[in-house]
Amino acid sequence: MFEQSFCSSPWFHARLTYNGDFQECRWFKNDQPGQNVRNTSLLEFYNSDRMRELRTGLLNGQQPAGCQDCYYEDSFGKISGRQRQLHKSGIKETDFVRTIRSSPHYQYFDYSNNNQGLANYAATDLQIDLGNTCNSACIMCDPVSSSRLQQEYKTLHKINSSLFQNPVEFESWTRDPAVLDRFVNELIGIPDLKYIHFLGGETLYDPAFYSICERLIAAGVAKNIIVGTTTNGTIYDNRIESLIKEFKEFHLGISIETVTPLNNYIRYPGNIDQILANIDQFLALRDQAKLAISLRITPNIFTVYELDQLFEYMIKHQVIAESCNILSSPECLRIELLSHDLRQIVVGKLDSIIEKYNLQKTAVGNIRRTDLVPDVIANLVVDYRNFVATYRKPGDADVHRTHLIKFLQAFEKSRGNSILDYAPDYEKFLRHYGY
Amino acid sequence: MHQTMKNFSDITAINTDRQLHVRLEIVTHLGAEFRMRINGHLVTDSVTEINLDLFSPIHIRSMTTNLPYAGSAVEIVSLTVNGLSVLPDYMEYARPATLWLNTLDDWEYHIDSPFYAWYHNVSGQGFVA
Repeated sequence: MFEQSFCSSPWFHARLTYNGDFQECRWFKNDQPGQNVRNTSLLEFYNSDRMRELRTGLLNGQQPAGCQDCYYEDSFGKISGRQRQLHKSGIKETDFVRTIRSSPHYQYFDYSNNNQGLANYAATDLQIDLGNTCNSACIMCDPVSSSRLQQEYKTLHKINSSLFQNPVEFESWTRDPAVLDRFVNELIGIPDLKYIHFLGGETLYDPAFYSICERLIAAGVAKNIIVGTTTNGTIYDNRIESLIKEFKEFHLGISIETVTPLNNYIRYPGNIDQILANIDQFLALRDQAKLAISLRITPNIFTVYELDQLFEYMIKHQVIAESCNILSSPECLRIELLSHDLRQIVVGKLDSIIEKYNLQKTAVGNIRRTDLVPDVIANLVVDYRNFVATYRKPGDADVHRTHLIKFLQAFEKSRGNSILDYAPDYEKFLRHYGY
Repeated sequence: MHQTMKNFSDITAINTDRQLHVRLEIVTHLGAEFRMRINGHLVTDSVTEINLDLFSPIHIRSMTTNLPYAGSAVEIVSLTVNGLSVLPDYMEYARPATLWLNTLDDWEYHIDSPFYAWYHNVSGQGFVA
């Protein structure tokens, strides 16, 4: 049915990736090189063949291949990127026809439907990936998103060339001052630009983040723009305090997987005590208007085991988490590879949290509303409980579990650590697959 | 509104007539008298129900004409549109912002069309991109 396939994202959103390639959407999966900011404007990209094809496909009720992650999450009732984007168009799947007809974006869908996918509305919601400058080397990350991992992958490739490709050398588009200047000028000129989400690398570590924000402030447009960014929580930079005040709203996502030392292993070489201390500092800024803080989690086969403790932390501190996707890459870290025994333990832990706090799923639209924090937390816990309880084990699970051991062993040879020091309850499972 | 839609062209073809079901409930206290209309439709009962086009604005206008006793008043108990609560939840958009009409003044409530876009905004669903 149309309401289960349609997404409004290509009518108001686009992504600029780490190397300057434009991409259809922050959730879209496409390995093909795209048009690049070095020689293409955002406006040109927005009416490119790629974007027109995507719009036409969605209008015709197709499920584009690059959107499969969202449809997968939809199938578990989790709030997918597609749901979030529909929400930004004022469209509800539960009352789809009335709300799409009433959407302020309806006229833009209609224009594209009558004009071979052309858009007559500029992207007003952007994700801008600044590059891969990062002080972390999370095991689920990749070299294009972490300069530290980019270096380490050279070693990992020598250890296991089938699991770790030799990293591609590239230069972040933000390192070219002329390109950066031209793109920021285009940003300033976008009528009604509403939202920019900056990603790194580690944005608070990247000078491009501060320089773009300062340009937007100087141009007088910051007060109309909501800025979001995601940090790994290892850095507290005082400059953030003054930036917050200049934008219409500021959304700060803090990437964390657990509140225990396991986080140090996954988000290597993080120091969870330091990160929690930094989070306390960020949370203290919430009293200033316009700052919304959320934890950004991407649970994997290991961290899902300690998700209950993270949920307890969220309830105690009244901070939500946004889980942007169910981890699908690297495949060997997928939650769906849990052993039967571990899976039952995880479900039991999440059931205990649900029972302890009497959590129930409710209809929540705007997850960043401060008065809805308890509901957002409840929904997340219930969503994950239901996902872990009901996912279908992949047919090739044993293959990926064996890969998992090789994947961990390569990292551990490079880093001199051991997962068993962080996840001792997994020993039987890991030994069974050759650890 | 519940037919199966296969593509966007199906959406454009739907009939938007009578897609908003508006229900207004009022109570009069101690003989208060008034004249009230919803989109021109005269309100005579404690519960008034009308159907409007999906994109229709909703205008309620009331004039209290007689308050014979000190405690006399017209009370707006509730306003719903397709089951979604508008009043008392969003009383702040009433002019004046009250649901207890105990003065001989006009009272108005206006919802600009389309209703669902308005509701997304007033119910704090975040920005429309």
